[in-house]
Amino acid sequence: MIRTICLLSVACVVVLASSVRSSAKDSPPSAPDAALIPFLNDQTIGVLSVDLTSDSSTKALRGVLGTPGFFGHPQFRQAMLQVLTIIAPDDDGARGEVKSTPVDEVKTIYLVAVWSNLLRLFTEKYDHDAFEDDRGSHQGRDLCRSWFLIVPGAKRVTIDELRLALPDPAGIHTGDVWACREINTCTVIAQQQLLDTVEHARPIPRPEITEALAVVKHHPLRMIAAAPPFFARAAGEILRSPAFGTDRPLGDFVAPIRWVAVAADLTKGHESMEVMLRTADPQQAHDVAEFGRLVLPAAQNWLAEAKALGSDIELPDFEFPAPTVDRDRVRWAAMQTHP
Amino acid sequence: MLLLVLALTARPTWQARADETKAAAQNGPQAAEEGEPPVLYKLTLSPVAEPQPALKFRLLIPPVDQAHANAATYYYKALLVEGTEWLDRLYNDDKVGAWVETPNGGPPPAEAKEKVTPVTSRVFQAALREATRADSCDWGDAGTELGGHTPRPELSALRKLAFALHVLARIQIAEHHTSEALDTLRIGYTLGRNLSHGPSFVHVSDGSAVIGMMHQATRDLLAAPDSPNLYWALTELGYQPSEPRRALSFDARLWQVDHPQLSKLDREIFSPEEALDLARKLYNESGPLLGRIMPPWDSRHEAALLFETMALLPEARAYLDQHGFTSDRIDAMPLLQQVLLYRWKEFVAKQDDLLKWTLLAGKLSPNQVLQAVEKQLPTNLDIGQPFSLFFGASSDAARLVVLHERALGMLSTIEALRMYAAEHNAWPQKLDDVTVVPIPLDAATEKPFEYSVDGDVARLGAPSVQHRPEVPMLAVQYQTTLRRPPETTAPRNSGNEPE
Repeated sequence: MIRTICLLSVACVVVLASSVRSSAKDSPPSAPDAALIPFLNDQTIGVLSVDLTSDSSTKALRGVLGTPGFFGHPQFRQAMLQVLTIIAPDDDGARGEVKSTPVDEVKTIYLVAVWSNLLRLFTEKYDHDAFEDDRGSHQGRDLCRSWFLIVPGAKRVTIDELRLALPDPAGIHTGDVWACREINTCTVIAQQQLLDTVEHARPIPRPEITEALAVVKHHPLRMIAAAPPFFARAAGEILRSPAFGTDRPLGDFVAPIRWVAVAADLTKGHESMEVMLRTADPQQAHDVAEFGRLVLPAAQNWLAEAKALGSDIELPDFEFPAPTVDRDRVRWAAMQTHP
Repeated sequence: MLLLVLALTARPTWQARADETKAAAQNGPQAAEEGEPPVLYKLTLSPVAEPQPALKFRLLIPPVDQAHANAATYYYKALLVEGTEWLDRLYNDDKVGAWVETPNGGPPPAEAKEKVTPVTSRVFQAALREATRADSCDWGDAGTELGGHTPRPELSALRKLAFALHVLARIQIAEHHTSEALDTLRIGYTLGRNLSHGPSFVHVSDGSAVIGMMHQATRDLLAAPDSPNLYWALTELGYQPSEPRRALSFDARLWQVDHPQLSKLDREIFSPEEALDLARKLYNESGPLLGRIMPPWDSRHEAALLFETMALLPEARAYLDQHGFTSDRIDAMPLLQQVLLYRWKEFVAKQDDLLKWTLLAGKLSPNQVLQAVEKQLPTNLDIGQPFSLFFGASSDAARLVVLHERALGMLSTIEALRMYAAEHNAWPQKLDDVTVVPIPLDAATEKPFEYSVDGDVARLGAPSVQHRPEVPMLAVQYQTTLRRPPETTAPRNSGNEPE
C-alpha cells in the first residue's frame, strides 16, 4: 500500500497538479511544516511528509525504501535508508553499522520533489530490474535528481554522521555524489548538484502546498502534489488527448486543479486514507469528481497491481468509493476492506 | 519533442554512434575495450628497399591517369552486373569470414574462391576499374531533400563489396599474385576514399570501415615474402584520406530538412496545436534516426511532454529573455514553443561551436582539431536536447581523421623500417636511425611512435589515448620479425618486383 501511495503521489503530480494560487484560508502550517516553507519555489511539485513519531509510518517508509524499484535507483534508496536509520532507529534500536544517539528532536521529515526528467517514469515501460542495475542508471540518476530530503531541526543530527552514512561516491556508477548540508536550520540531503541548487534557490511562496498540508495535517503520512505557475496553461495546451471515458481533452480536467493531497494513517486499528483535491471553482470540482468516477475502476486495478509489486510490505487494503464534492473540493475517503 | 524521445534514450545516441564508429575505425582484429591489451599485429617482414622508380607502386590512381567521370555511376553499375545476392552469400559465410580475419590464415578455403568469383568477372572488373579511375564521385544522395530519412541501401551493398574485395585481395596475396593484389587494394582504397568524402556521416563512417578492411589486407601483403615496399604508396594514401566537412555540413541541416517548422520557431507565434504537432512529429520521426520503432503517440507522451515543458520553462524563459525576445513575445508563444525554441537555439549555437573547429583542418594538426572539437562537447548532456543527437558527429569525424593518420603512419613506418633493414640487414636500434625517408609522428599523440628492438624482433607501438572515456583510442602494437632468407644473409636491395 505504501507503494500505492508512492505511485499515486507521482501520478497525482502528473494528473492532478495545478498552477492556480490558493488563498490558504485553512489553518496555518504547523511548526515542522513552517520549516519546509523556505525550500518551496516554482520548481516544487510535491512533498511527502512522514511523521516519525508514528511507528507505522516510519516502518512503512522503511519498507518502501527497502523494496527494489521504489524511488528508482538503489543508490537513492540506500542513501535514504541510511538516513532513516540514523534519525529514526527501528523498533529494536538497530542502527546497522552506524553508532549514534537517537535524535528525538526530529519529528517530521519531508521528501521534496522538483521538476526533472521524472517523465521517464511515465513513458518508459516500467522495468523493475532496469532500475536496479546499470540499465537503469540514467532513469535512476534523473530520479535521484528529482528528490531531496529535509530533516527539520536536525542540528542535533551531526552532519558528519549523516555524511559518513551516505553511499561511497566512488561506488556510484551514476556519477552522482550524495551530500548533506545544513540549510535554513534543517539538514538537507540530496545529490550534490541538486543540493547546490536547493541551497541557492530563492524561496517562492507556494500557498497551495501549505494549504494542502494543513488540510491533512493530522495524518502521519501526507503526500502533496501542487504545480507551479504556468502549469494550468501548460496542461491546457499540451494535454489534448481525450480523457479516459470522455471526449474532452484531459487538460480540461487537469488545468483547474489547485492541489491534491493523499493522506494516510497506517496505525493498527486507526487505518485510514483519503485523497483530496481542490479546484478553481465548484463546477470544476463536479467535473473532476465525475471524471474521477469514470476512472475509479481503472485506478482500483492499477492500485491493486501496484500493491502486488510491494507484497512484502504488510499493509491494509483500502477501497475507494465514489468521490464526494464539497464546494470546490473533491474527496475520496478510503474504506478498509480487510480490517 | 524528441524532448521526450531522446530524453528517453538511456545514453545519448551520439555517444552510442561514436562507439560504433570507434569499433569500425580501429579496424583491429579484436574489439578491445579500455584497459585491455593493445591491438597486436604480429608480422614477419622481409627487408625491402624503395622501389625503382620510387612511385612504381600506387594505391591510388595518380591524377594524370584519371578520367573525367563520376565513380558512383560505375559502382552502381558494378552492383547491377551480378546483383547483390552473391555479396550476401559471401558476406554471411562464417568460414570465409574467419579466414579473412585471421592474419596469415593459410591457403584460402574453397568457399572463398568460389563465392568471390563474380567480382573477378570481366564486366564487373571493368566497372570497378572505371570507378577507380574516375576523378570525382557524386553519390547522388538525396539527403538534402529527405533529411534523416534518406534511404541508403547502396551503402550496405558497397560495404559487402568492400568485403569481397578484401577476400579477393587475401586470395591473391596467399597465391602470390602480388600485382593483382595491388590492383584490388587500389580499387578498395579508392572506394573507401570516395565514401569517406561522401555527403553524410554514414558515408564517412562506412568509408572508414572500408579503408580499415584494406589496411588489413595491406598488412598481409607487407608480410608476404615477395611484397614490394609500399612506403610512398601509403604516403600518397595519407593525403586527405577522409574529408568529413562536407558530410558534417549536410548533417548539420538534417533537422531543418526534416522539420522546416524549426526554422520558424523564432520568427512566428505558433498556435498551441502547431507547437504540439511539431513535438509529435519530432517524436514520430525520431525512430528511424534512433534506429528504433517508436510506440504510437498517446496521452502518456503528452503527460511526459507536460513534465518536460514545466521542468524547462524557467530556464527557457530566462534564455529567451537574454537573447532579445521581449516579454510580450515570449508570453504570446505557447509554452511548448518557448521550450522548443530555447532548446533549438541552444542546439544551433553549440553545433556551430563544434563545427567551426573542423574548418581549421589543414591549418591545425588532426589531433589539435580533435582536441578543440572535444573540448566543445557539452558535459551537460541536456544542452540542446533533443536535437543534440548529432553533436558527436564533429568529434567522431575528427577522430576518424586522426585514426586514419595513425594507422597509415604505422604502416608507413613499417615500410621505412623495411627500407632500413634492406640496407643494414637489421632493424634500426631507434627510429631516428632511419634517415632514408621521414618517419611520421603518431597522429594521436603528435609524438614519435613507441619503438624498441630485440634482435630480429622490433616493436612499434601507439599508446591508448583517451580524450573522452566513452571512446578511447585503443593502443596498437606491431611486433615485426625480420625474415632472413635461409640461403643468404645479404640484404635485399631491390628484390621488390611483383610477379
